[in-house]
Amino acid sequence: MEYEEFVNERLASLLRYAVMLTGDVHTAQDVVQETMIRVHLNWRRVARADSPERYVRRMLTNQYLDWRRGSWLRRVLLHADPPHATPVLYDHAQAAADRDEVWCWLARLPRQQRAALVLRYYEGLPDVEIADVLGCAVGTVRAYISRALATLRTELVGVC
Amino acid sequence: MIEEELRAAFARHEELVPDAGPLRRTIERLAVRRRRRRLVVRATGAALAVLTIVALPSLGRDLVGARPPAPVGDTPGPVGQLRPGPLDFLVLGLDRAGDTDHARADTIIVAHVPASRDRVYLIAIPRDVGVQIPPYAKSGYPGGLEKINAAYFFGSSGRAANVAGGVELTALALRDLTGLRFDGAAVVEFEALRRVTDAVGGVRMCLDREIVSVHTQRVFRVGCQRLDGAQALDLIRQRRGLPRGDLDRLGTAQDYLAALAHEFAGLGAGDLFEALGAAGGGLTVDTRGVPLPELVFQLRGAAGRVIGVSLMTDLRSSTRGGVSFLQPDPALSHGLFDAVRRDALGAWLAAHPELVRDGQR
Repeated sequence: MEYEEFVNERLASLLRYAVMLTGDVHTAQDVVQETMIRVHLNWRRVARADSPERYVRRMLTNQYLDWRRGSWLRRVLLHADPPHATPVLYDHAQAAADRDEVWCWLARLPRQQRAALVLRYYEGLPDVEIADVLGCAVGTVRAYISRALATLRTELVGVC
Repeated sequence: MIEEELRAAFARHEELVPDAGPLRRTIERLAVRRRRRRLVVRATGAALAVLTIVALPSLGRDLVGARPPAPVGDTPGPVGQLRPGPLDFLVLGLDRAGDTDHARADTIIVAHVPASRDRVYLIAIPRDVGVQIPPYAKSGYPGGLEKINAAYFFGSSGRAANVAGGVELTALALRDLTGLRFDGAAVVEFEALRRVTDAVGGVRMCLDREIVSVHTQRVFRVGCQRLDGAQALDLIRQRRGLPRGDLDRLGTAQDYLAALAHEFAGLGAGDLFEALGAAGGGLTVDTRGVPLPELVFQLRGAAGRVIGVSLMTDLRSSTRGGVSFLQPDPALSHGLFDAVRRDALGAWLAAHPELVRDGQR
């Protein structure tokens, strides 16, 4: 498979995945950008993987999990333009606002937990594949998810 | 159910996801730039660059034609038979536009790496310089006084026409002028340079006067600019309309090689060989049996600093047998090549700063 072909097929869905992971369009673009530059530069290695798609998803997930744990310098380089908030237009109904408390709460979860939620409830992956993407045991995946759900259930009210 | 709310929240935010088109272009642009930047870190690449361009080997005896070098890892093997001390390579550029059988080497450059191996000097030899070309049995050429660019033609045509003959006879013809024996040679066709230039993401060139292509009407403005393969090739073919004609063309070609070396210097070994591979059959290298990776390893420190040297000041014109030749100032060219042989070019150029081409980067 060629890089071009891969990008044609997968870039849009990787970007969607990144938006769900990060909850923020700008961060998502940065994460995808950084990941895909490395994919571009190392395409031959990526293409050798059993499933390039899964390989890249794992790269992207790691990029997200490590995001901003790196040096200040790297952060500055990656954000040439200061991120400005993209308004999410759900204020037309109180009901919608209520529901977006979920979104708001997602942002407060530890990253591994959020990633596990996105992989199960957005991407619809079985726990075995989630464990593969996150590089942990299946039991750990289930622990992440049950802890995250417990947090959401108990604290969803009135925080955002 | 919290699970349902989660699914709904994700679905609802799908409309946040922007179009991937602009991001894709950014990724590709930045990937090219980062690839270039790696060079600085990987001196190996740099060395390769020089090598590649210069490519080395000598006298053409064992010119291996038409094969891009096989990719190698980042860690070349142990030191080989490359001789210690300064190294000299012969680089010939062939422009075969329209004529594949009667190529003349209009771009002749001697690449000199001092024993310190920390830089490369590119000394351009004007094609109209008159030299005594020795007889050459392999092609049946009887010898004679000719312009230096004819040596390639006489060596590569005739009974056993091949690239190696052209290189060897050019090297022999240069011996009177330079006194050098070459450690390697490279022959590159202009069309291959176009592909290689594109493979490295273009070259950055700086002009001190505007040049309008007589072939394409393309305008190259004053100042620094990044050129893709087609543009760069167009530029280094221009000589008509320039104040000193072919001498200015040669200077541009020299600057182009330096710019290309600069790009090479930013590549890792794998990327470098890939870029060279883009040359296909248009790049022929003779390293005199020294494995290319080894050569690169030895020269890794040199490619980062490429210095253009011009023999083009104080050229005299003379006419012999109805043909006009250029003759470099004998004292100047003798001094220059004597310094090359003594491995003292840096000191000599310090006393002749007007021969150093400037303005690059």
